[in-house]
Amino acid sequence: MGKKTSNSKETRNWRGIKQTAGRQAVSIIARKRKFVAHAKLCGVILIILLMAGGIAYSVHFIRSYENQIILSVTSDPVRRINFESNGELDYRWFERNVAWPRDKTIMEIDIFAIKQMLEKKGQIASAIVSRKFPDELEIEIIEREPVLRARVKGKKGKTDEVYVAHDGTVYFHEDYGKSKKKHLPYLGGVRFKQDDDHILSLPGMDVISQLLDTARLNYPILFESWKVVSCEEFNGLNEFSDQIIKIRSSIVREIIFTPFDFNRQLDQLARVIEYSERNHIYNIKRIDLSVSDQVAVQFYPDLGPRKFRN
Amino acid sequence: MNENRIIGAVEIGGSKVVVMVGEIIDEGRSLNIIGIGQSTAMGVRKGEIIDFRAASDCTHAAIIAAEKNAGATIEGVFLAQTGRHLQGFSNKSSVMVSSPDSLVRQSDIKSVIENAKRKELPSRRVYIHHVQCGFHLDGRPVKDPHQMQGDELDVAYWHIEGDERKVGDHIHVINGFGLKVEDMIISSIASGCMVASEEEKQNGVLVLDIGCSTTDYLLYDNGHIVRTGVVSVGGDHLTNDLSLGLRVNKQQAEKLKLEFGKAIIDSEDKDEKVWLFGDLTIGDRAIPRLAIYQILKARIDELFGIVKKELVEFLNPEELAAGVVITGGVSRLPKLADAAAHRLGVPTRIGVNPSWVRDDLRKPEYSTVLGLLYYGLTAQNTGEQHLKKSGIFSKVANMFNL
Repeated sequence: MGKKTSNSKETRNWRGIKQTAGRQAVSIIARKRKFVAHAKLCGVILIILLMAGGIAYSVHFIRSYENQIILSVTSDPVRRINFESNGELDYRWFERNVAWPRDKTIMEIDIFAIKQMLEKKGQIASAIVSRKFPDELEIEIIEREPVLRARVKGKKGKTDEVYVAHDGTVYFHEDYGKSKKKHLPYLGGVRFKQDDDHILSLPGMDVISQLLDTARLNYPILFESWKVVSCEEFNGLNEFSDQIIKIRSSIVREIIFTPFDFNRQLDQLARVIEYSERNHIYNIKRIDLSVSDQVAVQFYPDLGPRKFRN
Repeated sequence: MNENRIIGAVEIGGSKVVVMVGEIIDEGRSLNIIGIGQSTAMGVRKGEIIDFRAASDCTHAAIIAAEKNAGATIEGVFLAQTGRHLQGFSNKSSVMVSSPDSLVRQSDIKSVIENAKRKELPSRRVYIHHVQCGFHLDGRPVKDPHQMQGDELDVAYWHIEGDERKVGDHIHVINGFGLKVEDMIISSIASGCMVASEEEKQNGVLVLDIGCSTTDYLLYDNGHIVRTGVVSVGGDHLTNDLSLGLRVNKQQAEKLKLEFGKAIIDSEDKDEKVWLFGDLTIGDRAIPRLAIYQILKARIDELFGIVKKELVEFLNPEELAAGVVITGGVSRLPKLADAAAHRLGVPTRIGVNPSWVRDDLRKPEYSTVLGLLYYGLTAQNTGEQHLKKSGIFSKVANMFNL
């Protein structure tokens, strides 16, 4: 009540009345409402401050924790490497072929880089590298299994032996023993393409592997006679309908497969071979299993003692 | 303005304080009524504040109730103003058209309006409204004289002014709640715009808003407000008269008025009696209906007599072709329209609030607050509102009602 108004011309309008409220103009309800509003505001500010403080403390805690970890491990160099493989490779191979940083401590070593180095080797399908505190590295690798071998000319004109895995990966390996090599037929009729240091994967090797695995499992004696698998007329890329796989064995000079239904074809082959052996027929030159459900057998012209060499 | 605004319409009446909350949406094109709050008025007599603290308490209680009901916080208030201190007068101004080709320019219009509004008021009086009653160009009425040809441009204004301190008291009650009064509208204008149709306003209509302690009137002619006023007689007088005349207390008198009241006396009412309580308890007694009607009729005749005296030159079928529209709480008294038609000599009807208002808010006592909200909406559209501060700090402040 009794609010002051200015005496200017604007006071002639009600808008000239000053809109303010003295202390006595504020009712208990309005005061309570204002108090609640201020309390809410203070509450929100407090919550914001607490949150900000919490975040700041968390950041500080995380940073100091990180520092602690680094400090605790910098003094421990790698003392032992546990190398495990499902194949031929061992720790000695690792030491010879992987240049891992020996002067670094266990936390400084880039285990991802070691994993990449390992997986670059064609023989290794995958590698797991982990730290075992306080001072050990654990390396677990899964090797590729060779299904074929081949001979390629190296950079200096030297002939190298390479191996072909199920997935078509071509790789060098020096440690396969004679007994292992003996069971691997040669691959022929293929042009190897080189990219930098390694040979590019071959397409269609999964189909060849299927044939070899079936033969090895079901007809091991027959398989032992196989010397060369020729992919002259099998590129493994397009439709397989007009493609054939040729095998040269010690019994028959040329066995021709289509890339379908290997069980049927191998069964037919086994029966033909068995029949020929039972009847002492040794002059078989060619067995063609690609002619639908028929088998075409070609003989050498002479029926006398064997003059040919398969 | 892209954001929705929450506005409150506040009427501090003689018997109750009504606060209605409206949400102005759709960029100020439409209005949703979202809440209402009421409280019994205290510290107010005949529309004027006589106990500031009591008036503040009840008004703030009504605002709190309305905000709670609406689930929103009021951002600005449109306040109704009534009371005998409000006075109106007409002021006419004329200018000669200044251009040589006799075409009315904006400068002529501005000049004639300024002249009409320039009248100095006595000290401690403030203008509430300047209501334009239309332009005349060489004596012929024109809606917009701009670019019309003529020599003399006239404009008449109906000015409504009030006591600075009494108006200030109403404003400071709202300020005490932490809100600002965005606009102030006199009760008769607010209720008049709700109950009178555009056609009636054009033909001439008198709106009577009979409230608890005052009767506000508003006269329209040719679509313009030409007269406003306040008569210090209202529903409370009827209750008082019954209380004194029948020797009952005020609550009983109010009950008799609401349950058995009627504005005229019919021949069949003469022998009938009504019971004061109707439960045969101590103090219950039979009261002749005729006595109630006679008391009410006397006061109603007096009220319409005062109105007739103040508006005698307008109360004829030529000036008031659309007759009289009655609104306000007392308009619910049966046969009031008949009594008014008989006393004022023009056809009379009871005003009805517009159909866009939901049923429970269409009662005649809400005409004023509805009119205030409507005024708030139109003010929004014409850009009369003071632009609200925007920005994140204002939003945070609004969230906490600061």
